[in-house]
Amino acid sequence: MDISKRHFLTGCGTLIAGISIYSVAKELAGSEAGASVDQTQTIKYAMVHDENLCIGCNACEQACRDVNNVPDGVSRVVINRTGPFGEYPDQSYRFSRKSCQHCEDAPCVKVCPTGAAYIDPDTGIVGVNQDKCVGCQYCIAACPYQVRFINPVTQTADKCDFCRETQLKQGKQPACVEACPTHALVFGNIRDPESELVKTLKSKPTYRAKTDLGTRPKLFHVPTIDGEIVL
Amino acid sequence: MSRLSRYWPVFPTIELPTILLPSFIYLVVAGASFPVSAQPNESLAINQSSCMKCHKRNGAMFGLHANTALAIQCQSCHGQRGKHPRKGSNIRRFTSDSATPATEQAGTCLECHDHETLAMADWTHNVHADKISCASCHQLHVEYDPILGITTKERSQLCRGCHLVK
Repeated sequence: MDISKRHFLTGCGTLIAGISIYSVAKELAGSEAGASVDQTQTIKYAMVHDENLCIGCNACEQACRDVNNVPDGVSRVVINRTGPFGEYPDQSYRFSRKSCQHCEDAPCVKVCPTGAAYIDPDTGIVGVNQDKCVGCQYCIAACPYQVRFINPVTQTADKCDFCRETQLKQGKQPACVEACPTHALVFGNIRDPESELVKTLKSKPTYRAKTDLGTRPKLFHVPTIDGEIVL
Repeated sequence: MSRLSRYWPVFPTIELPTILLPSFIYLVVAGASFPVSAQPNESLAINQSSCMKCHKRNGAMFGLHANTALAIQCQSCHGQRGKHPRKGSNIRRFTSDSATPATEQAGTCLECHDHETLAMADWTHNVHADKISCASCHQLHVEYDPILGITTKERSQLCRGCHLVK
Protein backbone atom coordinates (compact mmCIF):
# COMPACT_ATOMS: atom_id res chain seq x y z
CA MET A 1 0.00 0.00 0.00
CA ASP A 2 1.24 3.35 -0.89
CA ILE A 3 1.09 5.93 1.88
CA SER A 4 1.81 9.36 0.63
CA LYS A 5 3.10 12.16 2.78
CA ARG A 6 -0.22 13.91 2.35
CA HIS A 7 -2.20 10.95 3.72
CA PHE A 8 0.14 10.62 6.66
CA LEU A 9 -0.18 14.27 7.61
CA THR A 10 -3.98 14.21 7.23
CA GLY A 11 -4.18 11.14 9.41
CA CYS A 12 -1.99 12.67 12.09
CA GLY A 13 -3.97 15.90 12.02
CA THR A 14 -7.27 14.08 12.41
CA LEU A 15 -5.90 12.05 15.28
CA ILE A 16 -4.62 15.11 17.15
CA ALA A 17 -7.88 16.95 16.59
CA GLY A 18 -9.85 13.93 17.79
CA ILE A 19 -7.79 13.56 20.96
CA SER A 20 -8.00 17.24 21.81
CA ILE A 21 -11.78 17.40 21.25
CA TYR A 22 -12.19 14.27 23.34
CA SER A 23 -10.15 15.64 26.23
CA VAL A 24 -11.93 19.01 26.15
CA ALA A 25 -15.32 17.30 26.05
CA LYS A 26 -14.32 15.05 28.91
CA GLU A 27 -13.16 18.01 30.96
CA LEU A 28 -16.41 19.88 30.33
CA ALA A 29 -18.45 16.86 31.30
CA GLY A 30 -16.28 16.44 34.37
CA SER A 31 -16.69 20.03 35.49
CA GLU A 32 -20.44 19.79 35.02
CA ALA A 33 -20.58 16.64 37.05
CA GLY A 34 -18.46 18.30 39.74
CA ALA A 35 -20.72 21.32 39.89
CA SER A 36 -23.87 19.26 40.00
CA VAL A 37 -25.05 18.15 43.36
CA ASP A 38 -24.06 15.01 45.12
CA GLN A 39 -27.06 12.81 44.51
CA THR A 40 -26.22 10.58 47.47
CA GLN A 41 -26.81 13.42 49.89
CA THR A 42 -29.90 12.53 51.91
CA ILE A 43 -30.52 15.86 53.64
CA LYS A 44 -30.66 19.16 51.84
CA TYR A 45 -32.48 21.91 53.65
CA ALA A 46 -34.49 24.58 51.92
CA MET A 47 -37.17 27.10 52.81
CA VAL A 48 -40.29 28.52 51.22
CA HIS A 49 -41.65 31.97 52.01
CA ASP A 50 -45.26 32.36 50.92
CA GLU A 51 -45.66 36.05 50.19
CA ASN A 52 -49.43 35.68 50.09
CA LEU A 53 -49.62 34.39 53.63
CA CYS A 54 -47.04 36.79 55.09
CA ILE A 55 -48.60 39.69 57.00
CA GLY A 56 -45.41 41.61 57.72
CA CYS A 57 -45.66 41.26 61.48
CA ASN A 58 -41.88 40.80 61.84
CA ALA A 59 -42.29 38.01 64.38
CA CYS A 60 -39.73 35.99 62.40
CA GLU A 61 -37.09 38.65 62.76
CA GLN A 62 -37.65 39.00 66.48
CA ALA A 63 -37.63 35.26 67.09
CA CYS A 64 -34.38 34.99 65.14
CA ARG A 65 -32.87 37.81 67.16
CA ASP A 66 -33.77 36.12 70.44
CA VAL A 67 -32.73 32.60 69.53
CA ASN A 68 -29.49 33.41 67.73
CA ASN A 69 -28.48 36.38 69.90
CA VAL A 70 -28.36 38.75 66.95
CA PRO A 71 -27.39 42.21 68.22
CA ASP A 72 -29.51 45.29 67.54
CA GLY A 73 -28.78 47.14 64.34
CA VAL A 74 -28.15 44.00 62.28
CA SER A 75 -30.47 41.17 61.35
CA ARG A 76 -30.24 37.75 59.76
CA VAL A 77 -33.69 38.04 58.24
CA VAL A 78 -35.56 41.07 56.99
CA ILE A 79 -39.07 41.24 55.59
CA ASN A 80 -39.09 43.94 52.94
CA ARG A 81 -42.39 45.70 52.50
CA THR A 82 -43.55 47.47 49.33
CA GLY A 83 -46.76 49.33 48.84
CA PRO A 84 -49.44 50.30 49.40
CA PHE A 85 -51.05 49.03 46.22
CA GLY A 86 -54.63 49.86 45.32
CA GLU A 87 -56.95 52.56 46.58
CA TYR A 88 -58.13 53.16 50.11
CA PRO A 89 -59.84 51.25 51.77
CA ASP A 90 -58.77 48.25 49.69
CA GLN A 91 -55.04 48.53 49.88
CA SER A 92 -52.46 45.84 50.11
CA TYR A 93 -48.75 45.44 50.65
CA ARG A 94 -46.24 42.96 49.35
CA PHE A 95 -43.69 41.28 51.53
CA SER A 96 -40.44 39.71 50.53
CA ARG A 97 -38.06 37.80 52.73
CA LYS A 98 -34.41 38.76 52.56
CA SER A 99 -32.10 36.25 54.18
CA CYS A 100 -29.39 33.77 53.22
CA GLN A 101 -30.47 31.71 50.22
CA HIS A 102 -28.07 28.86 51.03
CA CYS A 103 -26.86 28.71 47.44
CA GLU A 104 -25.51 25.43 46.15
CA ASP A 105 -22.92 27.38 44.24
CA ALA A 106 -22.32 30.05 46.84
CA PRO A 107 -20.21 33.04 45.75
CA CYS A 108 -19.40 33.84 49.38
CA VAL A 109 -17.78 30.44 49.83
CA LYS A 110 -15.77 30.85 46.65
CA VAL A 111 -14.25 34.17 47.64
CA CYS A 112 -13.51 33.40 51.29
CA PRO A 113 -9.71 33.46 51.63
CA THR A 114 -9.58 31.64 54.96
CA GLY A 115 -12.14 28.92 54.37
CA ALA A 116 -14.44 30.33 57.05
CA ALA A 117 -17.40 30.31 54.69
CA TYR A 118 -18.32 26.78 53.77
CA ILE A 119 -21.17 24.59 52.61
CA ASP A 120 -22.00 21.85 55.07
CA PRO A 121 -21.88 18.64 52.99
CA ASP A 122 -24.42 16.91 55.22
CA THR A 123 -27.18 19.50 55.10
CA GLY A 124 -26.34 21.90 52.29
CA ILE A 125 -26.41 24.77 54.75
CA VAL A 126 -23.99 27.61 54.03
CA GLY A 127 -22.19 28.27 57.29
CA VAL A 128 -19.57 30.59 58.76
CA ASN A 129 -16.77 29.27 60.91
CA GLN A 130 -16.28 32.18 63.28
CA ASP A 131 -12.86 30.96 64.41
CA LYS A 132 -11.56 31.11 60.86
CA CYS A 133 -13.24 34.35 59.79
CA VAL A 134 -10.94 37.37 59.78
CA GLY A 135 -13.66 39.86 58.92
CA CYS A 136 -12.25 40.83 55.52
CA GLN A 137 -15.78 41.29 54.14
CA TYR A 138 -15.06 39.66 50.78
CA CYS A 139 -18.13 37.50 51.26
CA ILE A 140 -20.27 40.57 51.96
CA ALA A 141 -19.10 42.07 48.68
CA ALA A 142 -19.59 38.81 46.79
CA CYS A 143 -23.07 37.89 48.03
CA PRO A 144 -25.54 38.88 45.30
CA TYR A 145 -28.39 38.80 47.81
CA GLN A 146 -26.65 41.13 50.28
CA VAL A 147 -27.59 39.12 53.30
CA ARG A 148 -24.24 38.98 55.03
CA PHE A 149 -23.08 41.44 57.67
CA ILE A 150 -20.33 41.84 60.23
CA ASN A 151 -21.60 40.93 63.68
CA PRO A 152 -20.66 43.91 65.86
CA VAL A 153 -20.04 41.63 68.84
CA THR A 154 -17.88 38.93 67.27
CA GLN A 155 -16.53 41.12 64.46
CA THR A 156 -16.96 38.22 62.06
CA ALA A 157 -19.26 37.64 59.11
CA ASP A 158 -22.72 36.51 60.14
CA LYS A 159 -25.94 35.46 58.44
CA CYS A 160 -28.82 32.99 58.60
CA ASP A 161 -27.74 29.38 59.08
CA PHE A 162 -31.27 27.93 59.29
CA CYS A 163 -30.70 27.91 63.10
CA ARG A 164 -28.29 25.02 62.64
CA GLU A 165 -26.49 25.68 65.91
CA THR A 166 -29.60 26.45 67.93
CA GLN A 167 -32.97 25.06 66.85
CA LEU A 168 -31.95 22.26 64.47
CA LYS A 169 -29.61 20.78 67.07
CA GLN A 170 -32.59 20.39 69.37
CA GLY A 171 -34.64 18.82 66.62
CA LYS A 172 -36.82 21.89 66.21
CA GLN A 173 -37.72 23.99 63.21
CA PRO A 174 -35.86 27.28 62.68
CA ALA A 175 -36.99 30.07 65.01
CA CYS A 176 -38.60 32.13 62.25
CA VAL A 177 -40.66 29.18 61.06
CA GLU A 178 -41.90 28.47 64.56
CA ALA A 179 -42.71 32.12 65.20
CA CYS A 180 -44.67 32.74 62.01
CA PRO A 181 -48.36 33.07 62.95
CA THR A 182 -49.70 32.52 59.44
CA HIS A 183 -47.51 29.58 58.49
CA ALA A 184 -45.98 31.58 55.66
CA LEU A 185 -42.61 29.90 56.19
CA VAL A 186 -42.06 26.24 55.42
CA PHE A 187 -38.72 24.62 56.15
CA GLY A 188 -37.67 21.11 55.33
CA ASN A 189 -35.60 18.58 53.48
CA ILE A 190 -35.85 18.99 49.73
CA ARG A 191 -34.63 15.39 49.30
CA ASP A 192 -37.57 13.99 51.22
CA PRO A 193 -40.58 13.71 48.89
CA GLU A 194 -42.89 13.31 51.89
CA SER A 195 -41.77 16.55 53.55
CA GLU A 196 -44.13 19.50 53.79
CA LEU A 197 -41.56 21.55 51.96
CA VAL A 198 -41.61 19.36 48.85
CA LYS A 199 -45.40 19.22 48.95
CA THR A 200 -45.53 23.01 49.14
CA LEU A 201 -43.08 23.34 46.27
CA LYS A 202 -45.15 20.99 44.18
CA SER A 203 -48.49 22.63 44.94
CA LYS A 204 -47.58 26.31 44.72
CA PRO A 205 -45.84 28.35 42.05
CA THR A 206 -42.50 29.57 43.34
CA TYR A 207 -39.60 31.70 42.22
CA ARG A 208 -36.06 32.11 43.40
CA ALA A 209 -34.10 35.34 43.33
CA LYS A 210 -31.37 35.94 40.76
CA THR A 211 -31.25 32.39 39.42
CA ASP A 212 -29.57 33.75 36.29
CA LEU A 213 -26.38 34.13 38.30
CA GLY A 214 -26.09 30.39 38.56
CA THR A 215 -25.93 30.43 42.35
CA ARG A 216 -28.77 27.91 42.66
CA PRO A 217 -30.38 29.43 45.78
CA LYS A 218 -32.53 27.32 48.10
CA LEU A 219 -34.85 30.02 49.41
CA PHE A 220 -38.07 29.78 47.45
CA HIS A 221 -40.70 32.49 47.30
CA VAL A 222 -44.38 32.06 46.52
CA PRO A 223 -45.12 35.26 44.59
CA THR A 224 -47.92 37.59 45.62
CA ILE A 225 -51.01 36.91 43.59
CA ASP A 226 -53.16 40.01 43.41
CA GLY A 227 -56.55 40.22 41.86
CA GLU A 228 -55.38 42.54 39.16
CA ILE A 229 -52.20 43.82 37.64
CA VAL A 230 -50.92 46.84 39.52
CA LEU A 231 -48.57 49.15 37.64
CA MET B 1 -23.65 86.00 75.82
CA SER B 2 -25.44 83.69 73.47
CA ARG B 3 -28.14 84.91 71.14
CA LEU B 4 -30.86 83.06 73.02
CA SER B 5 -30.08 84.63 76.35
CA ARG B 6 -30.51 88.11 74.88
CA TYR B 7 -34.23 87.45 74.93
CA TRP B 8 -34.35 85.78 78.28
CA PRO B 9 -36.92 87.80 80.17
CA VAL B 10 -35.40 87.27 83.62
CA PHE B 11 -32.31 89.36 83.02
CA PRO B 12 -32.98 93.03 83.66
CA THR B 13 -30.35 94.10 81.16
CA ILE B 14 -32.44 93.03 78.18
CA GLU B 15 -33.79 95.71 75.97
CA LEU B 16 -37.05 93.99 75.14
CA PRO B 17 -39.99 96.27 74.62
CA THR B 18 -41.69 96.16 77.99
CA ILE B 19 -45.07 95.66 76.38
CA LEU B 20 -43.95 92.28 75.00
CA LEU B 21 -42.58 90.99 78.26
CA PRO B 22 -45.83 89.89 79.99
CA SER B 23 -47.07 88.13 76.88
CA PHE B 24 -43.74 86.38 76.53
CA ILE B 25 -43.85 85.15 80.10
CA TYR B 26 -47.41 84.03 79.56
CA LEU B 27 -46.42 82.04 76.49
CA VAL B 28 -43.61 80.29 78.36
CA VAL B 29 -45.86 79.44 81.28
CA ALA B 30 -48.67 78.30 78.98
CA GLY B 31 -46.24 76.21 76.97
CA ALA B 32 -44.87 74.53 80.07
CA SER B 33 -48.31 73.54 81.26
CA PHE B 34 -49.53 72.43 77.84
CA PRO B 35 -50.15 68.70 78.44
CA VAL B 36 -53.86 68.12 78.73
CA SER B 37 -53.39 65.87 81.71
CA ALA B 38 -52.29 68.82 83.77
CA GLN B 39 -55.89 69.99 83.98
CA PRO B 40 -58.07 68.26 86.51
CA ASN B 41 -60.20 65.89 84.47
CA GLU B 42 -63.40 66.57 86.38
CA SER B 43 -63.36 70.18 85.28
CA LEU B 44 -63.16 69.28 81.59
CA ALA B 45 -66.29 70.20 79.70
CA ILE B 46 -66.81 66.71 78.38
CA ASN B 47 -66.83 65.29 81.89
CA GLN B 48 -69.62 67.68 82.88
CA SER B 49 -71.95 65.88 80.50
CA SER B 50 -75.22 64.47 81.76
CA CYS B 51 -74.07 61.06 80.54
CA MET B 52 -71.66 61.07 83.46
CA LYS B 53 -74.55 60.74 85.91
CA CYS B 54 -74.72 57.07 85.03
CA HIS B 55 -71.44 56.42 83.21
CA LYS B 56 -69.16 57.52 86.03
CA ARG B 57 -66.85 54.59 85.67
CA ASN B 58 -66.72 53.99 81.95
CA GLY B 59 -67.62 57.45 80.74
CA ALA B 60 -64.91 59.67 82.17
CA MET B 61 -62.67 61.03 79.50
CA PHE B 62 -58.94 61.52 79.95
CA GLY B 63 -56.19 62.26 77.53
CA LEU B 64 -56.07 64.21 74.32
CA HIS B 65 -59.65 63.75 73.20
CA ALA B 66 -60.87 65.33 76.43
CA ASN B 67 -59.13 68.59 75.60
CA THR B 68 -61.64 71.37 76.04
CA ALA B 69 -60.28 73.14 72.98
CA LEU B 70 -61.43 70.25 70.81
CA ALA B 71 -64.96 70.65 72.22
CA ILE B 72 -65.67 66.96 71.76
CA GLN B 73 -68.86 65.79 73.38
CA CYS B 74 -69.97 62.26 74.13
CA GLN B 75 -72.44 62.58 71.27
CA SER B 76 -69.70 63.54 68.84
CA CYS B 77 -68.55 59.95 68.69
CA HIS B 78 -71.28 57.88 70.28
CA GLY B 79 -74.14 59.55 68.44
CA GLN B 80 -77.42 60.92 69.78
CA ARG B 81 -78.75 59.15 72.84
CA GLY B 82 -82.24 58.71 71.40
CA LYS B 83 -84.37 56.69 73.85
CA HIS B 84 -81.34 55.46 75.76
CA PRO B 85 -81.39 54.09 78.42
CA ARG B 86 -85.11 53.29 78.62
CA LYS B 87 -85.40 51.78 75.18
CA GLY B 88 -83.03 50.64 72.51
CA SER B 89 -81.04 53.25 70.72
CA ASN B 90 -78.50 53.67 67.98
CA ILE B 91 -75.70 54.65 70.30
CA ARG B 92 -72.38 53.67 68.81
CA ARG B 93 -70.26 51.39 70.92
CA PHE B 94 -66.58 51.21 70.14
CA THR B 95 -65.32 47.71 70.74
CA SER B 96 -64.18 44.90 68.49
CA ASP B 97 -67.27 42.84 69.37
CA SER B 98 -69.76 45.69 69.24
CA ALA B 99 -73.13 45.61 67.48
CA THR B 100 -72.00 48.78 65.71
CA PRO B 101 -70.40 47.65 62.44
CA ALA B 102 -66.65 48.14 62.14
CA THR B 103 -67.17 50.35 59.09
CA GLU B 104 -69.36 52.72 61.09
CA GLN B 105 -66.96 52.71 64.02
CA ALA B 106 -63.99 53.50 61.80
CA GLY B 107 -66.04 56.04 59.88
CA THR B 108 -66.65 57.97 63.09
CA CYS B 109 -62.93 58.24 63.77
CA LEU B 110 -62.22 59.08 60.13
CA GLU B 111 -64.49 62.11 60.35
CA CYS B 112 -61.56 63.85 62.00
CA HIS B 113 -58.62 61.55 61.30
CA ASP B 114 -57.41 61.58 57.72
CA HIS B 115 -56.53 58.11 56.47
CA GLU B 116 -53.42 59.39 54.71
CA THR B 117 -52.10 60.86 57.93
CA LEU B 118 -52.89 57.61 59.71
CA ALA B 119 -50.96 55.73 57.02
CA MET B 120 -47.95 57.89 57.70
CA ALA B 121 -48.12 57.02 61.38
CA ASP B 122 -48.35 53.31 60.68
CA TRP B 123 -48.72 51.30 57.47
CA THR B 124 -51.06 48.80 59.11
CA HIS B 125 -53.82 51.45 59.12
CA ASN B 126 -54.02 51.02 55.35
CA VAL B 127 -54.63 47.30 55.32
CA HIS B 128 -57.08 47.25 58.21
CA ALA B 129 -58.78 50.43 56.98
CA ASP B 130 -62.48 50.10 57.85
CA LYS B 131 -62.39 46.33 58.05
CA ILE B 132 -61.82 46.21 61.78
CA SER B 133 -62.75 48.75 64.40
CA CYS B 134 -60.15 51.24 65.58
CA ALA B 135 -61.00 50.16 69.12
CA SER B 136 -59.51 46.74 68.38
CA CYS B 137 -56.13 48.35 68.91
CA HIS B 138 -56.76 51.86 70.27
CA GLN B 139 -58.28 53.30 73.44
CA LEU B 140 -59.58 56.83 73.63
CA HIS B 141 -60.88 57.36 77.13
CA VAL B 142 -57.65 56.61 78.94
CA GLU B 143 -55.00 59.22 79.47
CA TYR B 144 -52.44 57.65 77.13
CA ASP B 145 -53.40 55.16 74.45
CA PRO B 146 -51.42 52.08 75.51
CA ILE B 147 -50.74 51.06 71.92
CA LEU B 148 -48.50 54.08 71.41
CA GLY B 149 -45.99 52.69 73.87
CA ILE B 150 -45.84 49.03 72.91
CA THR B 151 -42.56 47.36 72.03
CA THR B 152 -41.94 45.77 68.64
CA LYS B 153 -42.33 42.36 70.21
CA GLU B 154 -45.69 43.22 71.75
CA ARG B 155 -46.71 44.60 68.39
CA SER B 156 -45.93 41.30 66.67
CA GLN B 157 -47.88 39.45 69.31
CA LEU B 158 -50.81 41.78 68.69
CA CYS B 159 -50.79 40.79 65.01
CA ARG B 160 -50.59 37.17 66.07
CA GLY B 161 -53.68 37.58 68.23
CA CYS B 162 -55.89 37.85 65.15
CA HIS B 163 -53.82 36.39 62.33
CA LEU B 164 -52.78 33.13 63.97
CA VAL B 165 -53.52 30.13 61.76
CA LYS B 166 -54.22 27.03 63.77
